[in-house]
Amino acid sequence: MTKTISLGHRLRYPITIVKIIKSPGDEIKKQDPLMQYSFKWMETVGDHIRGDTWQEERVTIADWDSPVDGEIRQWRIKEGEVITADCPCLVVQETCSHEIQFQGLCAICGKDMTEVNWASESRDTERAPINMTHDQTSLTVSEVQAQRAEQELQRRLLRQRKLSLVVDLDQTIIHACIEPTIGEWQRDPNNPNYESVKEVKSFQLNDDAPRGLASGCWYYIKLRPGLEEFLRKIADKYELHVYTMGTRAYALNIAKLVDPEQKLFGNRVISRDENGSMTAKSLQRLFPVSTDMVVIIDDRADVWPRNRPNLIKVVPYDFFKGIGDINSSFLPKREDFLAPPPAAALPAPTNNGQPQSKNDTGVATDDKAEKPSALEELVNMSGADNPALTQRQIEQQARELEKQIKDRPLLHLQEQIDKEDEEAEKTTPEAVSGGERPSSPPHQRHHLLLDDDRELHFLEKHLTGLHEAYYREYDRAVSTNPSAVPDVGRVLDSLKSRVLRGTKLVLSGLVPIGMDVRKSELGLQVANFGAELRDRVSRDITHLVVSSARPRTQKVRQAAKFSSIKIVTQEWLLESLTQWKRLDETPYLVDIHPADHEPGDIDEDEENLLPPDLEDGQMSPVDALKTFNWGAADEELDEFLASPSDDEDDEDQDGASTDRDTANGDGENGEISRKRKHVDDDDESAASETENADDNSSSLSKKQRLARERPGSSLRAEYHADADTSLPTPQVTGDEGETSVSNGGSRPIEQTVAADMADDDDSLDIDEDELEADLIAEFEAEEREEQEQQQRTEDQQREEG
Amino acid sequence: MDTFDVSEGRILPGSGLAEFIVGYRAVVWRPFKGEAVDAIVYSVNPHGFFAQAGPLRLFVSAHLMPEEIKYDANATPPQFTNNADMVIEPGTQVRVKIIGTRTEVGEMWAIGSIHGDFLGCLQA
Repeated sequence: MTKTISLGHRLRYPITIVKIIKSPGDEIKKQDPLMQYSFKWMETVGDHIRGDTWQEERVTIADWDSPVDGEIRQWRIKEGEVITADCPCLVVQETCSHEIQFQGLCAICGKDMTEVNWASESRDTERAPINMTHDQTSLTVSEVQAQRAEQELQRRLLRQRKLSLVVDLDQTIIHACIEPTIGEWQRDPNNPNYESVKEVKSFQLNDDAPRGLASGCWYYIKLRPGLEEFLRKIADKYELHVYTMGTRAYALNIAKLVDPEQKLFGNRVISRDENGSMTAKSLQRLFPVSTDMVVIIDDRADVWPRNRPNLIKVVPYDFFKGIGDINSSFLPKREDFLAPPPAAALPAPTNNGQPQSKNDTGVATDDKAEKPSALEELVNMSGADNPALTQRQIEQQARELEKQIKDRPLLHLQEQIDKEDEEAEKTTPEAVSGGERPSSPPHQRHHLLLDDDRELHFLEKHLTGLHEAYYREYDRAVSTNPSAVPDVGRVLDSLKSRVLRGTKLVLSGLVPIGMDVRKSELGLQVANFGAELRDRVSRDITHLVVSSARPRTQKVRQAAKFSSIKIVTQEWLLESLTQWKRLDETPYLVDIHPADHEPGDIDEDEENLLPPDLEDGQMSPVDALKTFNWGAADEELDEFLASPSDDEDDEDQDGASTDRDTANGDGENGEISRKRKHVDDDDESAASETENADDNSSSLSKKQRLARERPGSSLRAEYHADADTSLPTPQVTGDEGETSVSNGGSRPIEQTVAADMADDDDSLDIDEDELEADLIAEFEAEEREEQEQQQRTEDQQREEG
Repeated sequence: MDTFDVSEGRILPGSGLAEFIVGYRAVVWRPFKGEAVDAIVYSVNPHGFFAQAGPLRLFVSAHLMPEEIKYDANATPPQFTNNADMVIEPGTQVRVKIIGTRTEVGEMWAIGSIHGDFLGCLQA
């Protein structure tokens, strides 16, 4: 292999080539002088002490030494040539290009690569920077070598018509925990969980790290249902690699459990010991040159920052409830926590009475105590951290483990479930898994550990489909260009994007406030699957996806007005993403609260819409309000919703309304400013309120109001009832369009309407016409009272704020 | 390593430290370049294989194997083989010629070669 060598930047240019010592064909050794050059420089001469110095030009001749071993092929410079800058001067056939290195030794010639000398500008160890072996960190190769190895691999895979599949362990194909209760359940056939845990496999990790109580503890491993068959089938189409954040010993033990004959994974196991990062996985670690034929299955997308296109995200397997991933402590908290399946995602508040509510608040604290301890232990095992930290962790872990062995979160959970079971049997025996997970059969055995996961079944289908699509693509590409290798990421994208193509989604209550929906985990996934994500409810969206924990948001109310919008629970979206199929929405439709569904609702269609060109949210004036004081806005919104007459008044006073956001230049646009009214600041509403009083004298508007008032105020009453229930968890999730009701704003109003509320609620169920006349009169009076009250509240708030 | 003879101590003037003359016995082993050693293979990858000879970890690159020995990724476990008598997989005993060594405190590494007569798999 020939190499072109340049002069190097350290010479004192301009230089003149004086003499070339070695000629083409000569053997050269490192540090042999190859040519001589001269350069001019200024020397300060004279008496330094007296300051009587002057510069004198000197000419020096110097040797240029060889930075490499080998044989000279060609000089690119001539004797007598003047060179002003670094340039290539020599072509050398190297004896060894040190392309594979092991612990600082060249694996080809055996030379020590860590030696440094003056002749070469770069260190030899830099020639082989890439680490691409699964089980070693000491072996590095050069780019060329890596490319060769990878092409070889690709050729082999194409010959066998396979792809590479990188498999995550924890919560993807298995679920692990170290809770000693599992062992006890396994030995006790009478335990309600016996059936579930009897398949659980276990092993002990033997390593020298002093881990106190945790040393030699048992790891309990539950394989995902159908795993064996899944892997067997998939192995025909994919070459399997294990890539886990656990330690190597852990990974090997699990590989042994999953694949005792090493047929599936062979030695292709990489763990965090070799990964080089505790928080991110990278395909480049294994496939440094091309990831065109690599597919990943993992339960977390955020650990693959650079390889999203190749990733198939799997619903996390959560068998040991509440344990989570024992190897992911270093990772940031799962941001898509609402997205994973109902078991974990359904927060307790809504189904507290149900026997299946796993995340009961009482146990949650235990969970948290247990989790870090398991993680801590694994941190310690790695031994890669700095000693002080490790020491601290060891101590902390010893404490945590003692606590864990005493606490036994799973045992507690089971006890709790038993208790709830008894209660539930008294009340509603059927409410076991109703609606939570339509794909799973209802479970009547009330035990903690359910084994109802069907993810692998779908996953196998997806992977088979992907494999077919890839090789279809490949066959087509090869017919034109024999060396073409299609990119599996693109194939995967095109498959995925078909799933929800044509749907226009709005999410409600699924992405935490303040987070960009499009950048959130769920948003990225949804976009990946071809759906169009919108910020606002409008006429042309197709689905509104609602968090099942908070099914009554502002968006739901808006969407309920259009029969074309299907309002579905998050499970519809999740199941669709899991099955790669746009599922029938019917079983997932959200029951719209009657109050949200009023046909004659106040500002029916047009009024509540943005102009069409602004609907996509990108340009929406609402975006400008991102930094807006949402607490105040929410209060304002409450009041706005509470007083139905505001709306028509808005129309009248649009021109007069003082828009604070005139910077956007759309202050004149009546529709926009009306829209913004929902979230605008206090002053304006106060103004509108005073105008209200004036407007009330107009008989026309009075009639209009009479026509609208009844449903409007029942909405208000409902709204407050709702707001009240949502108070305990106002900060859970939701995006900017939502109404998170804050305490201070709604209280006083509630008090005033409290008396009416009961009536209003009833009236919804009874014949509405009968009560209408009465209500109109009642509301007239109440309206005024309330406006005064609001005025007072706002004044009060302004003083406070 | 064991000690069998510790002399009387002699206090060094000026510091308070003492000087002892200790006789000891230790097993020492130093690999030399060009030496042939027997080792056990513990890991195989497309670039070569790793072997261990006592405390010494060796790497034999695919470049330093006879031409006919090829990497076979489809075998379980993956192996280097010439499709005849030579099969190198984890656990195989090999005779390796050391062509380069490097040591650091407590650790030794070497590059080996099985390209040559009488090198390679040891038939049991």
